Amino acid sequence: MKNRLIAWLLCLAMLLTIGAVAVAETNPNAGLGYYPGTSEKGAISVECSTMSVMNPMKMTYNTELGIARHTQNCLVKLSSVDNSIIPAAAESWESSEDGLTWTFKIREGMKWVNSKGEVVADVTAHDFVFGWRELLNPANACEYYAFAAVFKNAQAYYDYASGVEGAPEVKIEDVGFKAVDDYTLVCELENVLPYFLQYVKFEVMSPIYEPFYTEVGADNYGTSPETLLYCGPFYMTEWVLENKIVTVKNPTWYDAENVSLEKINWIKYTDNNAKMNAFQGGEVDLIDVTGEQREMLTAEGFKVSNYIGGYSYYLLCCVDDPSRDIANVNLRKAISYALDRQQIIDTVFKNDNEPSPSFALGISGVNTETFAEAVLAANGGERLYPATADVEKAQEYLAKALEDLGKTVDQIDITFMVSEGTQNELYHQVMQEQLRKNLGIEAKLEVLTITESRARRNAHDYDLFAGGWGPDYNDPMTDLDLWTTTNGNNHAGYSSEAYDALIEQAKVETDMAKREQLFVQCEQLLAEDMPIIPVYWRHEDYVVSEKMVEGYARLPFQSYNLIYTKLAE
Amino acid sequence: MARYILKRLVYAVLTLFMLITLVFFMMRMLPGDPFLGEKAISPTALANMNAKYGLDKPVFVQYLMYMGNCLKGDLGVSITYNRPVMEIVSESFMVSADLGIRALIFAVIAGILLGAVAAIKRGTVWDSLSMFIAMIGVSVPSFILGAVLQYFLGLQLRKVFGVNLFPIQGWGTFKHTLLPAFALGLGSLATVSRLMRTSMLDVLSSDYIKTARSKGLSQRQIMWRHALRNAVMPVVTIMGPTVASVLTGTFVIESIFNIPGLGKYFVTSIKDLDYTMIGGTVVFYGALLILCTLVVDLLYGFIDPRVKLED
Repeated sequence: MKNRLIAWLLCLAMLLTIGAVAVAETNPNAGLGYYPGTSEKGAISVECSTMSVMNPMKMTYNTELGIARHTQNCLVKLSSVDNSIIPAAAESWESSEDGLTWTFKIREGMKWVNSKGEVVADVTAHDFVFGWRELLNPANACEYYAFAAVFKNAQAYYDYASGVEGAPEVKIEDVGFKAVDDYTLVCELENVLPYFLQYVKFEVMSPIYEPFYTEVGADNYGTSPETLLYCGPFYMTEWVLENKIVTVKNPTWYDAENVSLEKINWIKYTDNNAKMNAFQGGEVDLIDVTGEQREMLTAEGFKVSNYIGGYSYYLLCCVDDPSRDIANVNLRKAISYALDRQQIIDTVFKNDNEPSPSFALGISGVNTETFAEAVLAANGGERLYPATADVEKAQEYLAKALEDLGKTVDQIDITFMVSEGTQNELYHQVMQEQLRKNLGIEAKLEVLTITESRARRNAHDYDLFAGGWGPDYNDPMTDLDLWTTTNGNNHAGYSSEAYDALIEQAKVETDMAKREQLFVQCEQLLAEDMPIIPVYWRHEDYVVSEKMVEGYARLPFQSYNLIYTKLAE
Repeated sequence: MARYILKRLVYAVLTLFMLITLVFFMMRMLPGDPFLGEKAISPTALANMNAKYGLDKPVFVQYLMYMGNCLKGDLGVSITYNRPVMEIVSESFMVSADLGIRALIFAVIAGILLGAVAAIKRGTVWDSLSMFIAMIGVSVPSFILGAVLQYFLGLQLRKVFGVNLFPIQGWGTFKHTLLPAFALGLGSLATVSRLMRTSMLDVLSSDYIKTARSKGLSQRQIMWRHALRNAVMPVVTIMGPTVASVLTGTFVIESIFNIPGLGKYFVTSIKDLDYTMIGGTVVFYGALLILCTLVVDLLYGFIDPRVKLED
């Protein structure tokens, strides 16, 4: 009984953490007669920018995971209405008092179907166990295996199985998940994880039906519609590599009666103008648009929608090499104040992108709607980074920096390392000009291919490099643990004992409000030490044809949720 | 003849060998690795990924293995797509070749006709018109032509006149091939027609045509049996590389019309540093190019019996 109470409390806590960010969309242009959309009855065509891999455990791109969201079923999923955790393959769950053991009751009667829609087998707890074991199987080399590494002994098993030197022997049977019976799955965690359910909603944690997997072979699994099984609201019938995927409604899905959509065509475009022509000509119903395209459509009176995917963009500063001028914190602060973030957005992106007031975006707050609001409140309503240039402060910090470095302004040596691409190059040219105007610093631009710049970034061989981060789960940890000393993504080389200690405290703190304050302190410390200079929060513009009336959602962690889309009559 | 072909085949294998070797080492010299993403991968996972694709071995060992597999006709598994490279290349080549053949038929027939007409009716309005079309074909890049065709014949025709004649993008029906084939073929058409005109003018002023005329042959006999057949030789010469490049698709036309062809992989595989895919596309293109040139050389012999294919 007590366990159940705790489970309920945790659920409640989750619901509070995942505040209501938005509601499922209603088309702002419905019935206005601009773009009626595609003609195929009961079907929609939507843009999908990546579709190279369809084996869920090997996916890494948001948009690919978006397709898996429609064809697979994890234990829980996010609601298309308010982004909260709701039951999916698991109809209920409870956790032990210490939060380390979770028991999931798997919904009975779910079916595996193939690419022809034929029922192959029942979905059981064993399929989750098998799927997660494969995710942890080094032979599969899954990039996102870490989602399954939260279970007891999982990381130890992965290291042992990968042949890491000195790793003690661990058997896969000892990893903390097992099927007690066909419909009961028990999970044991390595550490308390308040956002554990956010992990099991991630599509790489999809179940796999072992007999089928063995039959097609691990390397062939999910390389075509025929070599994959489906248990979600749709199943895949066609896949033309890098071009098109067709998914059709799965009548055996547990909530099929509420799905009115018969078919989704996912289309990949590589040319922005062609995509817009296709939208205007009624060959596609939902596409992302550029700032220029948004201006054009808005001028016609058509309403462009946008959503926050949670992506925060910043300048990485290589702070661990004292021979670089950028290692001086006052110089970094001078740059932060010299940047006119709003002007950058207006010149380069021409959309609703926001100048970052703090780093993390897209995360819900405990008592406020978003975590970012809590950061703002804790700072007395003051932004941590200005929206427009504050030349006076910039000059102040510059003077200090020059004193520290013993240099004159024209001796300051800073280079922006730039990944090639028209928009990205313009982005850096604008920043270069702002530094010239507001600080008198002559920064250099070094344009490289994307792979080369990433290699140099990882080797900490740069001064300033544009970076971006999107959250994987709805908790500030997904953004803020980035800047701990040992995090593989900490390409700034930032190392602060105080910062690391805050993150460690947050890992064990169970009071959600106190925990949030620890994260707020992390944000403040970041602004103080400035290993990164946050620039903007991305808003993603998209347009929807009038065929899609309501019920679709684009939210953080759910690039697409089209399951309950209602179409115009 | 057989000896000639055999010799050419040996050269072809040698060329391919050089090509694979060069490309293999050149792509390894590119900075970065195929797994460099926005997000970091744990060292253990990275080691597993390298092991899966054999990238954990010394480069020379990898080269030997790759060569060995190539000899067996196995181009490996694409790192980006986790699918056999052969499968991706052959599937997408079918699409590119389908489009390319349509474009070629259009370009060659229309190009030869235009060029011949321009030469025969030299100085008339026919000549100017043909050369005007050729000028457009040469000077307007296919991506502009494609975009213009798509915008006017695809979108505006539908929006303004309500005529749904040409699909804007996509692949699968005959209608889908019209605009891209035209956009793809016009450039080759221009080259063919200009070459044809020059060569036809040459031929028409040569002695044997005068002889034919003085023999009292009809204009038709002179054109078809003597002039065209000789004038077409330069066109045949450029057909080898043209066929290879048109058949393997072009990145821009495929992008604009959203066609699942081979063209994009030449570009994206390098951007993604998908080693096996880069190797696969290069080997395939190289082999096709060599084959086309060989076929063209053999064709010489048929068209002009004076060409001796010995040694």
